[in-house]
Amino acid sequence: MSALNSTPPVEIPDLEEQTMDRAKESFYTATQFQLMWLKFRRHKLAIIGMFVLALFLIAMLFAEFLAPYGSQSRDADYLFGKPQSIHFFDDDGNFRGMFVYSVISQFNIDTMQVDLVEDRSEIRPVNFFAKGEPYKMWGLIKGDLHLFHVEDAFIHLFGTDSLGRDVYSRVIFGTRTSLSIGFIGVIISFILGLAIGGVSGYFGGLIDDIVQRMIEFIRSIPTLPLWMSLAAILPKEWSPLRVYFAVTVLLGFLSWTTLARRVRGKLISMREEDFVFAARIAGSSDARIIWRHMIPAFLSYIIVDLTVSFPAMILGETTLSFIGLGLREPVVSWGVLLQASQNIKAIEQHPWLFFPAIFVVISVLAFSLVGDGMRDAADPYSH
Amino acid sequence: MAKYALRRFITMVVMLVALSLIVFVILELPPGDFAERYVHDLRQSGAQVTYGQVEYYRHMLGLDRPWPERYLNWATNIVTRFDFGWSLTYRLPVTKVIGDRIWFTIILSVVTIGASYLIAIPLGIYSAIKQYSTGDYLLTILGYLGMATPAFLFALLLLYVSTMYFGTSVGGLYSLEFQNAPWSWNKFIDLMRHIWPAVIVLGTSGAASTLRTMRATMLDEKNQLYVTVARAKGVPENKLIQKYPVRAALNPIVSTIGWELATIVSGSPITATVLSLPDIGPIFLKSLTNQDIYLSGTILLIYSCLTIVGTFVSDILLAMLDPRIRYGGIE
Amino acid sequence: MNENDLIEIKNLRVSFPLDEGTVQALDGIDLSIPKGKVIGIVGESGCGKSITARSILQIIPPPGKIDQGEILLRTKLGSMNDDEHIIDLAKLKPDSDLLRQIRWGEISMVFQEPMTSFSAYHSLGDQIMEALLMHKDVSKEEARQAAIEMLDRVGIPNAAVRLNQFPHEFSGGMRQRAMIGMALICNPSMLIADEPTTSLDVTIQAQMLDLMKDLRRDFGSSIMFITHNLGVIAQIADEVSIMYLGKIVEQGTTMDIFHDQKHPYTSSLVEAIPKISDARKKRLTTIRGSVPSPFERPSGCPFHNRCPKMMPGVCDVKVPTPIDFGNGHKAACLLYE
Repeated sequence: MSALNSTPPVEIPDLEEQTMDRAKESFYTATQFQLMWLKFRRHKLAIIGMFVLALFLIAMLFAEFLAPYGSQSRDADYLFGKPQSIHFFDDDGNFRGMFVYSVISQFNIDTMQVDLVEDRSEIRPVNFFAKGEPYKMWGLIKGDLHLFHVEDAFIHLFGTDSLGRDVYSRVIFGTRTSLSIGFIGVIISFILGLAIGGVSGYFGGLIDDIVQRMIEFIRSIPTLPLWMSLAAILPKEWSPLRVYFAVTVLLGFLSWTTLARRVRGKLISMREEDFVFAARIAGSSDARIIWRHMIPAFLSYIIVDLTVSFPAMILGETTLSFIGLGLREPVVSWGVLLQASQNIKAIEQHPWLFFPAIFVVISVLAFSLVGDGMRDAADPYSH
Repeated sequence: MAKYALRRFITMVVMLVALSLIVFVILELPPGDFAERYVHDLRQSGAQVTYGQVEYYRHMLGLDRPWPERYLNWATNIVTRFDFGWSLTYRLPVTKVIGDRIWFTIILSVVTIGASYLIAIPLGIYSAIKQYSTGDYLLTILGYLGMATPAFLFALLLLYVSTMYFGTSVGGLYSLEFQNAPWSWNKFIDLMRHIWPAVIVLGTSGAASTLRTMRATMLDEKNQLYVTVARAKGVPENKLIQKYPVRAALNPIVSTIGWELATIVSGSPITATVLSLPDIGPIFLKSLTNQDIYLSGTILLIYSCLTIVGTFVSDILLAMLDPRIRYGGIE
Repeated sequence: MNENDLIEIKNLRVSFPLDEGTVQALDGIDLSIPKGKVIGIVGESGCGKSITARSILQIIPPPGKIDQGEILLRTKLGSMNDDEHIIDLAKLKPDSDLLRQIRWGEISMVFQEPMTSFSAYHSLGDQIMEALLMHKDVSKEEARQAAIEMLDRVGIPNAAVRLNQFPHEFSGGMRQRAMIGMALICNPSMLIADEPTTSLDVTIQAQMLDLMKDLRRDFGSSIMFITHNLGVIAQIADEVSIMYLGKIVEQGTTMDIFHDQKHPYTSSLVEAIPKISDARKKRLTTIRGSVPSPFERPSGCPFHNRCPKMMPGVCDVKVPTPIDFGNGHKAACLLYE
């Protein structure tokens, strides 16, 4: 009987070989991050955003190299100077490579004022990868190599401020400060969000209730006025560096709520998921379940939330510094730079002091675009 | 429904109490107390003050008591006598300093939120229905820009453009003749005529995010099965969109009115300062830089109350919109 | 078009142009639905059963589109003198008045997911009455009465009260009953049931089938019953079409399909039904492999790479055409060519 009933051993051909080619196989076995990348690549705007962010990152890391001058170096002869124009042809129309003219002060007898005019007598070529003002990279590594430099004269791509400091160099250094505040702030909110959200979702019950009410409460206080109030009570005698850290911590401490909610929500919904149940029956320990199964399942969402919370940090710092409650000189950030263009008169007379604003908008835009692309990609199996 | 509203109301009251505690803590954080600062202030204006007087003031103001008692005192004064304390900068009671200005803040916030919804919701619907059209792309770009531009930058830009190209400044809220006039219908109309730059500045970022939320939820809902069912039933396309996905997409919008209001309120002190509006924004900034704690604390309290009340209103609205809450199905 | 047929689908081709490539969801479907009969459509997930049904009402999810073919319907709608005439649904614009009248007026549909078939923000009554008010010249009160009667008819107790309730207050089974009620409220000549029992538990499934059988007797509508469950088909269908990768591979009476299958795919499906009479230790028969990716349709007969009777050099080259075994029993298999 049994011989009749049991199905004869069917030779099963290697279907993998027959029907799947390499590409398809790699699709089916791709890790989650590979799938996310496949999906992310389709968002052209997000890719552009990614590219822009990479540029910002480079500016942040190699500010000393990219900026021709230090953030406090002065060109005393060129106060409130306009952005210099870059030339390629001399007055006779000959191609002379990239060069600038140096600027000299001239007393204008008609207006009785000092005018800054280009000295067309001598060409000042722009040298790339040239030695210039010495610096200490990140305060550690000595160097004097700059991306570009002009011998015996100054080059001010974005003009100068009231003290004759190069706006372009200061914007580059400001990038380092503003983005680093974003990074540190995001890390702080990441740790807080993960810990508090984790505790809330893991223990549930009363603790969860309390944490949830707390989060609702924090979210209902308007962020900026709260930041302003807290920033205002920082002691005036603190050093600018200390203020920098205080402001960073402040921004981080108030932005963990979104992440905490996400972590909690995911933990709670996942506790009931089949794959967690399966892992539990298979005898996995709690730690292994959380580490191997639950966290990878929502890591992508966490990364998305972190990316999305960046702009808020940058805007927060910029706004606080702009109104004079955040960072102070000699720390240079985008917000600090924008203090110089606080009123309409300043912008009317020296519109180039508004350059940092463009950087703020572009960086926030880039982060939002990347964040949106990642949000879509985070769910690689959805349509 | 009534039970739900009551529960939300109680939550709101609890939150207001918690909020007052936080504000109190912020008031107490800076070194030195109010008596010291007051005396310091008097000395600066040339008055002779002895150490005994400091102690006297401290005792008078109850500052030598433990902090729970001081908090209760402070809170009681607010509730029973509407006394929020004394402003050092203006040498007036806080309520006098704030006075009428609070109404501008409230009117500005309400008008802004109304305008931003009126504009953003239809545009969001359009964007979702005409997905990938030129209009959709344009709105998407505008939306991103709107969200990426901080309010103060926007305000500065608006000022710049208006002075450079139109020769008029958009700052201020009233024509000269109404500057100090008492409230009247004409003054209100005048206010509305001057309020739009502030509304644009304050409302753009919120409108941009509303537009994006509306578009995203519409796209989600548009492909839901119940919409297909309605289509299969022969409901005309226009009617169908209005009755089903729009209705569903309004929910997340309504439920975040509170946060929306928080965003607007959040931006208002800085916008108001840059545009020199006579609301509580500029005095908030001034009080912060001068460490005028009772004034700044009160304004922070006002800002937060606005958003907590906003959250309460949106919870109730949401309950009215969503049958699952209306009939006590889910929390 | 045959006198007795309500619908005749001829060489219907539907494709989905996607970023990854074009998916040929329906690859030349020929199908007729006689008046008053229950036609079962069977196949694995992704074989195009639902797309066939949705093509009839032109509610294919975007970016799907009908490339070719006719969907002929015999109806009185849209005719000048109230006589029956034949309309090609595939030629109608999706937003045309005539198509909207046919939707639900002539052909209605019950979907797989009762939980999401209703809008959460409108009462069940609102949504049921909407269908009636859209198609019949009745007052609101009449529509309400009709809706109550219908809910009662499909076995929802206390219908007058339940009508004002919202979907979240109904269980899945109750919602599906309401959905069936809504589908029948305009007295359509055909009901499409797209896996109406799949997402319900087994006991509810049985009740639902009984209900459908009763309704079929009382209303006399044709039913197009889509399922992947042959057991369900055996209980309800008069005729069956077996689909595989956007093609109908075999069609015939329920008797033919269960006892005289011609196509190896049909045989595999029938063998895969667990039987109580089988000896204890026998393993369940399965069809080896799985449905190929929609982007890579096998050459020749689409089933050849899973077929136990595959003839190398024939099946992977030649595309089979349907062969008639008499009495409407057809199969598209190269074994018989």
